[in-house]
Amino acid sequence: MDQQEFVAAFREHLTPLSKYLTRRVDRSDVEDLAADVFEIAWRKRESCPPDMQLAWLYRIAGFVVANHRRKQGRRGFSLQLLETDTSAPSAEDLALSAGSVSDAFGMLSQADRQVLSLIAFEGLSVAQAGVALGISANSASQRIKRARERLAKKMSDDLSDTE
Amino acid sequence: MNENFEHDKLIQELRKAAKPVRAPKLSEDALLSASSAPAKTSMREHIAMARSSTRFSLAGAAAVVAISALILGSLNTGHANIHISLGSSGAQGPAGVSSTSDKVSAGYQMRPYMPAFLAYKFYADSTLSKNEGSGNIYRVDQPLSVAEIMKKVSEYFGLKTKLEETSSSEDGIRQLVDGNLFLTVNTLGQFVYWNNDTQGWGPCIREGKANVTVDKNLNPNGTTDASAAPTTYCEEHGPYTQTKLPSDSEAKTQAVKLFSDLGFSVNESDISLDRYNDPSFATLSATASLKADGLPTSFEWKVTWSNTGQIENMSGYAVKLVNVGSVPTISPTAAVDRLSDHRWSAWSASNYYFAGTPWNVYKTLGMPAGLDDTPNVVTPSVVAQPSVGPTDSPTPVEPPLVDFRVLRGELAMGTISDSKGQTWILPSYALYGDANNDTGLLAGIVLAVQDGVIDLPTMPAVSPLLLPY
Repeated sequence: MDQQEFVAAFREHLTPLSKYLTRRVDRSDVEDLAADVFEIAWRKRESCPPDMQLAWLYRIAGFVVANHRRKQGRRGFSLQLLETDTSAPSAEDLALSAGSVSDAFGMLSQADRQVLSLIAFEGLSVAQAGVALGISANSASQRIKRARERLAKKMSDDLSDTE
Repeated sequence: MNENFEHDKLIQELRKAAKPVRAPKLSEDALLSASSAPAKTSMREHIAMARSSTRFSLAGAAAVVAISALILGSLNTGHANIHISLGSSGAQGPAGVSSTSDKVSAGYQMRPYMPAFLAYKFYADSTLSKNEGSGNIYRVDQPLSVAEIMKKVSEYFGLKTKLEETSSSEDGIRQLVDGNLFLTVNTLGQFVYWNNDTQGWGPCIREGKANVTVDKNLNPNGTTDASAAPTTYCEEHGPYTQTKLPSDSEAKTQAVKLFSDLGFSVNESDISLDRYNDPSFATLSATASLKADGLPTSFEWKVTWSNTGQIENMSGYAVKLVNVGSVPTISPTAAVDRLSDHRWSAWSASNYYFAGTPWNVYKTLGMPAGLDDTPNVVTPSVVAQPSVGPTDSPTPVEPPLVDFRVLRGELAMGTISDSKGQTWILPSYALYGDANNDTGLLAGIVLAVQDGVIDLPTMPAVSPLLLPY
């Protein structure tokens, strides 16, 4: 993939990537981090799965966001970088309306929030979510199913608490 | 399970609960810049790119901000009485130092560059200097507005687009586009001119058509913006047969004139050259730094020629360095302790980074998947593989600890920026040493001003590292 092909292939993903990053980091950091993502994408372009550019970009962006968050918070305790799930958005990041959905989402683990946000907000399919998480489509399907079940249960618990 | 979850009420409910995202519009420049670097990005390129375009991201400084309080008068006689106070709230002190005893609102954005997913134990070699000293602090003034820089540079390179017709982001970064010519100016006074000179490549030996697909989830109405239209492109370039790159002496002469025409006076002896050769293209770059106390700073001017002999890229800073006074400095040995605290980190000229490359450490200990330079993604074995399962029992993990012996400290002038967008240059050290069987590694560039000169912000609380599985 040469420069022109790279630009042509990833041009359409500028906006989705910007939204992905905006959901996870301060808006003022989005352009910097997007530059990081594309820099890595260019270096690793040969490993991009066919027709999975966006999901693959999210995979890289997950690492970049996790690294960014770690840098902001602390230094040394750094293996978190190896887990894309630490790039999961919080309920606050997503500006979820107050209510049972927001409360339940906020109580989920980072892993659950990550996989649910990829399908609900990033609009990925199961297979794409797998690429974004670095796991198989089958594993992604199971994770989505379980995360979804846990979200439903927490919402249900929340409702029964208020009754 | 529906592939797009269109009929999944729970997912739909989740989608509805989220407010629309107001994401900044990303420029195609991000793609061009990223793909302009050599395939294997060196640390030097990484740093250089970090400085280009929007990297110093002062807009984000308010959220990250740092320093406070320096009162030199009480510390040491014979030095300027400069006071830098916390600027995150914007309530302390005016934005500028005009004389001794003046105050300036400051803070800096921290950008540690080390491969920080490893933990380093830095220690000073016994041969490292223990001598203290002094150095000057410089304020970085911007005599021209973004619009003025834009006008000057666009006229110089003959961009015909009018400024009013171009986009302007909320962060004050402005861009002009005229066909294959791009010009970006940011609030740091930095301009980046780019000429997408496709003729600089070898002849196209295979053409292709971009396979642009529209994600229905992202474009529910099926609309496609013009920028996503199918594009033909050259899939493979053959080797170039001739080059019109200038000779070394020609390049230096031209660079001096180019820099001078746009406001940076420099001697040929201050210019360093870098030739890059690829089978299908070649470039030549000339770089020079603004100097402070005779040392190069992060404010670099650079021009790159493509194979056609045209200027492919030029960048620089329309800034002026103002000496605001002298401060006492610690020794290189004492500075080693500051490597473990990124609040002391600063940026400097690329030659300091070029002297050592922490990527060696990455390669030795393994990089996280997606970030390495190897073609295959490999997750280090120390990390638990993602799996499906309960998240009730997170496991604490210790990062690998690497001993780093610091052998050499070079004087440097480090750049930091405050929450109001004011940039400063302070005496610093570039510290080098050995780690993990690699030698000549750059440990970091840290500020050399004595304790008490800068009152650091409180460190964030450190929570245990827990993996979510």
